Amino acid sequence: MIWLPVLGLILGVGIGFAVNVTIPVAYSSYLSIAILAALDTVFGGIRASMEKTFDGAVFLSGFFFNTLVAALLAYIGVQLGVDLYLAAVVAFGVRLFQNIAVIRRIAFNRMHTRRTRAPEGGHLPPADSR
Amino acid sequence: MQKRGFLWSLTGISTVVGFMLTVQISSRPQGASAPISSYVDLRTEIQAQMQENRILTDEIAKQRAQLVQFEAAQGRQSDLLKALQQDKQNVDREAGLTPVSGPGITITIQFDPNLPYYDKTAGLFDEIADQEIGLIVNQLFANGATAIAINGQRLVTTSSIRLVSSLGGPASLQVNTVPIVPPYVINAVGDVDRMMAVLTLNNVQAELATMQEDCIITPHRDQKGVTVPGYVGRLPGTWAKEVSGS
Repeated sequence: MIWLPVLGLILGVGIGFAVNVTIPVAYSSYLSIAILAALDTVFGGIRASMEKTFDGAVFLSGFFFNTLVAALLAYIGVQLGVDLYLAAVVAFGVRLFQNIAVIRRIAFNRMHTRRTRAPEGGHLPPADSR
Repeated sequence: MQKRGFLWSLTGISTVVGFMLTVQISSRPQGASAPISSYVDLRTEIQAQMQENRILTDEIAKQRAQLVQFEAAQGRQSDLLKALQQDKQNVDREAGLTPVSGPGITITIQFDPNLPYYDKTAGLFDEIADQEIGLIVNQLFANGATAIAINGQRLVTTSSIRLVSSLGGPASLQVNTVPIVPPYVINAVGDVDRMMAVLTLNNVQAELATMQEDCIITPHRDQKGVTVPGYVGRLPGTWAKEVSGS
């Protein structure tokens, strides 16, 4: 089951190569920001899942909303002549690294807990031998 | 149940992210790190490279032919001597030491008092004859001329066209350090059409006419049209000798 997201990613890449869709270079920067927002949402979702606070509706809506708003922000920035996309890059970048850090810590905590539990259980003498 | 929902959501989102990534990578222009300044620059560069390639190819063909000649003459003194003499003749011809003839043009420049008089430019030719003739010669060499002589003085790579004057006295034009006098006759062997075209394009006759200099350009399209003599002056190695044992 844990491999399903990886399979999904491979499937998405496969579809991308199969349909061979390209966008104009002018819009390439918007898609870059949208991808950053999408990655932020994905890592946020993984973190929420590990913290047992995952909500499917929040996750899905966050993904699409953040992606669109990020692209929109970049577009508005271009129209105004202000590099607004930098704000999105910084915001999503910081959140991305925070989420990755939290995921890493949770993963280490779980590994540590398993290690500390395993030897205790392993050295316990069988009940009938006591 | 919550974990299952999360996994399926994540799978769907991963698929979308994968698709977006692929589209982004596919849409990025290839080789953007080395931008081409302009199409014209690229075209000029290609033309220059092709020209260089052509010259080098010709050079390789010549060298190969010479190599074959030397190899064929290997072991036979008389043949080897003949091959070396042939090689010397080729070098002499390339260096402009032998007379050549062929289709070409003759340009005669001489003072003509019947031409219209302009205050600013009349008589100016006597002061800039070296520049004017140098310009004409350069234009001819750049447009199909293979051998040029001015008043019988063959132009080679070390030739000079200079206007030498004494203090307050009349100036004298020297070609290969040999003084020459008007009328100046330029004989050029080469592509007649191209040479005529460049002279017309640059208004050589009209420009000289403003200085009261008559410029007569005569094309000779037949095989024995123009004869250009060989260079007879001193060669660069006349005085300078290689230092032995260095």
